[in-house]
Amino acid sequence: MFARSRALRNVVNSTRTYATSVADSAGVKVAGVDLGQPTTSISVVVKAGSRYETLPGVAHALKNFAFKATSNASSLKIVREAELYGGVLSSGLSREHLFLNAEFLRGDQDHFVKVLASVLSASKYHPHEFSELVMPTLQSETLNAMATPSTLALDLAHHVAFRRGLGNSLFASPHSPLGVQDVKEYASKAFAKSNIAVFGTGISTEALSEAVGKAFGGASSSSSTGSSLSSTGSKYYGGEQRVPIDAHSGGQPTMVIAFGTTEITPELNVIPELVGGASALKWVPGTTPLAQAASKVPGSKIQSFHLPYSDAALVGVSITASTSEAVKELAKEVVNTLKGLASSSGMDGEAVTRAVAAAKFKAANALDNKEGLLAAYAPGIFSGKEVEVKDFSSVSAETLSKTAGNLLKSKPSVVAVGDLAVLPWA
Amino acid sequence: MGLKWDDLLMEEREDVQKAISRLPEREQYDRAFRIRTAVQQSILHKGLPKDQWVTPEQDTRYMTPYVLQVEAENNERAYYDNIEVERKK
Repeated sequence: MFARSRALRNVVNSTRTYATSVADSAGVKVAGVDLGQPTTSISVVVKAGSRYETLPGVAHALKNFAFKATSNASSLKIVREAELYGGVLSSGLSREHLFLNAEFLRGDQDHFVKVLASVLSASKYHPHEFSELVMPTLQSETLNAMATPSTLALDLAHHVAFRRGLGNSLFASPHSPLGVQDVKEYASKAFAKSNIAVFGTGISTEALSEAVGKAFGGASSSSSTGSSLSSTGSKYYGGEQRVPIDAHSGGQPTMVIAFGTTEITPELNVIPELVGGASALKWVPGTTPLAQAASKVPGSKIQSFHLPYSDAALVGVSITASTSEAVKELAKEVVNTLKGLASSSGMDGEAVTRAVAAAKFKAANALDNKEGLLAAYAPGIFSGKEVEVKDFSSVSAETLSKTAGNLLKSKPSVVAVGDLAVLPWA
Repeated sequence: MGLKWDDLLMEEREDVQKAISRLPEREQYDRAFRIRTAVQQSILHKGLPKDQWVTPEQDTRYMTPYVLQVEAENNERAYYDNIEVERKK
């Protein structure tokens, strides 16, 4: 009750502000966006995603080691105290960043920022925690990913597209053993102050940087001397990977056809909208070419995606259907649609306008929730860049077909997961 | 018999079992070896030759820290399970 009344009071007092400035507090980059919501969420963004890892899977292990025993609290204490405050602690991993998240009611930031700071600077990395708590979750997450064809296919698509760096798998592999010492070494490199940024929603930059200054300033400076991790720039390769799945595992056969590039243009956002796949309305097949194709095969799903990274992007289509034969048919349609993009004659002016509008909406809408804000801010926060809604005014049918043509000229990254006797070759 | 003090800790307790599982591999192996030797000597009704006796320097309490660690964890869990939360004044 107490917490709720305090939260409500703060909501009434706060005004809706877009504090997008990036401040520097105790050597750590800090940014907050306050939209007046009753809860605050703080994420520590560490440039230590799978592309920076020194050993396969070490980033995944470090993600699962978050919120374990530190020098001033056991993992049980951290969790139970967070529960008493009514907060949620979680950690996440992307190809570029490692996230430590805390979500809680307004006003409790001092406690949670202290917890986050202690995880970064004072985690003990006990061997018994590694074998008793971290390993089992690591194994089940990896097994789960391997048993989910869509996740596996996307992971492999990154691997054939970028090989090392961005191509590193998000998941620890049973083929490369990890020890607690490896994780500890990776953490000491990753948690250097220059490698960390703190991003908050539902909290102003000033309040957040004050809390961060208090918590991180007193933290042991051993972490600040650690060297940053490095990764070489991305290069697109492309290629093919085929993986059989057990017919009885219940996973649906999947194909991913993707093209990568290291030149990032707004056209890349529009291409997935142009070929489409998802319908904007419920129960109705969409009007985009791929949505029409998918509607012909019941139970099938075609999804186009655009995955932006700091120095590269992957644009492609993922096809899922209940049988490998259906996937084969749909893959033919997808390839024809993609080929049609390269010729400007195949581009309908109305469809282009529609796709640009959809891309614009998607980009703007992403800034309306926590996850989208975090994804939008994470890359720019280290360089102190402000986030703005992408400008699509330069996109036209000509530029689109030119970008598509350049994409299609490169070797495609094709991943087939399913019955290999049926699924087509690239 | 060639046993160390900590080899005689009551093994049937859950916290001691957990402590054994947390021992470094080498310690686990040596512990099993000492217990096997002791059982064998007991069957033979014979003591070990004097040069194989455990000296006071060798008789380290190698497992006690792990048992105490497990005990502290259990106590902490019990504490948080029975904690009474007071409203901030």
